[in-house]
Amino acid sequence: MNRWIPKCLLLNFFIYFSVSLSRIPRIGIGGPVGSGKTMLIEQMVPILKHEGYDVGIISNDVVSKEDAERMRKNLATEKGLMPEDLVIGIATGGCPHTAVREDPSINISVVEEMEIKHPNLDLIIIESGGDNITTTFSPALADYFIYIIDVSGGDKYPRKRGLGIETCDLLVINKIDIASFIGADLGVMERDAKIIRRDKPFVFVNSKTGQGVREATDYVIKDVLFNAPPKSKIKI
Amino acid sequence: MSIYDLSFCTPADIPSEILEYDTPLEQLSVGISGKLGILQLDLEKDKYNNKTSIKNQFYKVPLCIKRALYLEETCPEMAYVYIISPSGGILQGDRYRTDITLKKSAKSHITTQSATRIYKMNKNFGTQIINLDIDEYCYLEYIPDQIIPFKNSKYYQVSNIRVHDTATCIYSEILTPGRVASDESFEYDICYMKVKSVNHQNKTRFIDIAKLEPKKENIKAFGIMNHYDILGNIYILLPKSYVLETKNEINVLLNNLNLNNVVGGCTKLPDDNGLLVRLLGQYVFDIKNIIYLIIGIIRKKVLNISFSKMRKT
Amino acid sequence: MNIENDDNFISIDDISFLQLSDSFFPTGLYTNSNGLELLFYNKNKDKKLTYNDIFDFIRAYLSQQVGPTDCSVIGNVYNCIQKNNYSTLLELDNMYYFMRLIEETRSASIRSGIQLLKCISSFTDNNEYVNFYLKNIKDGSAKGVYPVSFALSCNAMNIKKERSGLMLLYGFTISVVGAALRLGIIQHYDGQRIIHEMKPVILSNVINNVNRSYSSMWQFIPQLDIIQIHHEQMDSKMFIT
Ligand SMILES: Nc1nc2c(ncn2[C@@H]2O[C@H](COP(=O)(O)OP(=O)(O)O)[C@@H](O)[C@H]2O)c(=O)[nH]1
Ligand SMILES: [Mg+2]
Repeated sequence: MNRWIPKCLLLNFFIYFSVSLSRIPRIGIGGPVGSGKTMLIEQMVPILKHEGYDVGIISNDVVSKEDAERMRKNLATEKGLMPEDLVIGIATGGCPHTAVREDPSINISVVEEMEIKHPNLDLIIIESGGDNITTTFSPALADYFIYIIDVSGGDKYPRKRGLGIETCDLLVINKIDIASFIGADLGVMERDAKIIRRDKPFVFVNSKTGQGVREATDYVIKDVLFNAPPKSKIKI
Repeated sequence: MSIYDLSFCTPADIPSEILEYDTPLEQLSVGISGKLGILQLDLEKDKYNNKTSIKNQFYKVPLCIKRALYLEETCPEMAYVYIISPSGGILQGDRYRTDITLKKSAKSHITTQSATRIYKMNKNFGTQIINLDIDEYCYLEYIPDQIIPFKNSKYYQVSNIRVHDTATCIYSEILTPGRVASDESFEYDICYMKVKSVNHQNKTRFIDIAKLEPKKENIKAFGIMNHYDILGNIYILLPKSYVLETKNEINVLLNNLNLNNVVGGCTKLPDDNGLLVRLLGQYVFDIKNIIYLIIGIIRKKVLNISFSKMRKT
Repeated sequence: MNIENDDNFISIDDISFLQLSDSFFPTGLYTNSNGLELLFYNKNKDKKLTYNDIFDFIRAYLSQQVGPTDCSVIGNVYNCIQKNNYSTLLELDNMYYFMRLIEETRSASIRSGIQLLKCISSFTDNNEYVNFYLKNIKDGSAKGVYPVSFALSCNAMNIKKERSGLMLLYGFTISVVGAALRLGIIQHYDGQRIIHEMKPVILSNVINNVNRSYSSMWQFIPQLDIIQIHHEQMDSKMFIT
């Protein structure tokens, strides 16, 4: 019984090490259906690419292929920013929250396949299927969690809280362009967000025009990539 | 003593479900003892006239062939070979073995002259081995007629298909429920069919093993054959670069068939080693037509020729 | 650690049996409908899928594929362990992989298999067979198919061969029932009744197949194969298989 512990520890060390050596930083993007997850990714990737970072995308949207197809068409086929096989859609059996939280095994296996096939990627983005406000990402799946809401639900969010809004690493408040149409007061949202988020960041964004996306992307570069130079720029 | 003995013609790994019927035949009474049918055929492209021809052949009735024919005007070098079984089918105790090799860019279409009847058996069982060996850049269509397992028949068939990564092979099977004309439907004891494929380095390409025991399991149950009577399998081994496009073309064909009571689908085999097409239908005729349509797709893709029409002598 | 009392015998291993049979165990099986989703959309055109359809669907899979291949693999993995036969273990992995003829189900099997093994190896004692298999997957000499991973995981947790077979068939059953519930085909009482009525099918299939030699594995579900192939082609879907 005594010898069991060090043996086990050693193995865990081995697994941890072999995993961490090839682990590519991953961010998870969660948020209600239609809040703009896909569109935010479509805006962030060109900025990241411009900085030299190569990105892979895994989308878990409920009717899977649709979002993946859209991004593949937009980012890979038309803009040529990435190979088509770097945009992957995964169905979640109607359990979008399970797939990123309590049983992320399928997402992890796809991430690992991507890591083996494309070891030079700088970042992998995982879009969760649209869900309610209790979504969070398993730390085994994502290193950084962006939660995105839009103003169309009214300025009661983020005051209403919810696990996603409170615990995420970065809160994105999207569609500020339509705030005035639906009578949502951005000032109220900013005040409430400051209270709820304390010192954790949030940004206002218009994913249609790209306003605010640069700021959100800078958080990713600073807090996920730690300002590391892109792998493709590192000379050996 | 000839090497063409019983053990040469008997499959190595006969499954226990078949061996259950392994009662000895009375060797003395003529007509009951099983026969050995052997066919060996080597096809090569002739360097003078460019036609694929039979370089070597050996057969032992009840298996034989006629000379090669050249029937396709869009591909005059392709050898059409018809396998004939004068006894009309497989009897109890029969052990058939066919070995066909293609070398030097040979192109061939091989079929049977008639359906393979698996006759009623009181004792023992019938077996058939089919070994196909297709070398570099060769092209083979092995498209036999349907198998008809009679009431109380017991049949085991093993197909070993060795295909070079640069070569192409289309191998099809059609299984009927029995002698439909005599109102027989799934009254046989067992029909066991193994198909294994490897590449030129003997790396596995796929394995498909089907066992049907209609007296033990309701073959017409939902999920198995349901209300369909005829099963068709087409295994297409072709260079990896063709796999994805061909799959999509075949699925477009299958999804737009205007046939009642036929369903089918095409999927990629492991490691992009080729394609599998499964078909279920009501009539042999429908399944055959689809097989020919698919042959047409492959010919266009791989040989860049069109497919005139199927001819049977 | 065993509490022994003649017939009443319970142990840690029984809890492991529960742990690995639980749909809570993270192997992503909830993403599989095994083609049921296609049937749901297709059949809905003229007639609704019924309780009996779901029952027949599961039974056909169990007795014509999961039993004579997956369960047989389980039995053979245990035989390999007993005989210290590492090479046959890899052969089983290979054979099962090349018998999984539908692309969608083949990749799902490998994904779940590998994740299951990794999860098991994170908390069990250094099991030499689990490590051996993981190493071979990493080297590319094994694929990591689900039934091999499942049997090795069960063995690592001291679960016996026949029980491992039961767990696999049970797991398959509940994953289809779960999909049927989420698709709204049946309601929650029906789901449990299907599981209950499937018990004799599960049991007889394990008994008939767990000692089947791997050279006599077979499968025959042409209609389900075609359904699964059509699912593979669906444009938008909720399930991976
Ligand atoms: N007006 C406006 N519309 C937006 C904005 N961001 C996204 N949308 C629209 O909102 C809809 C849903 O966006 P999508 O990215 O698919 O949301 P997802 O379901 O969270 O991935 C789409 O029709 C987008 O065009 C925005 O900032 N302003
Ligand atoms: Mg989306």
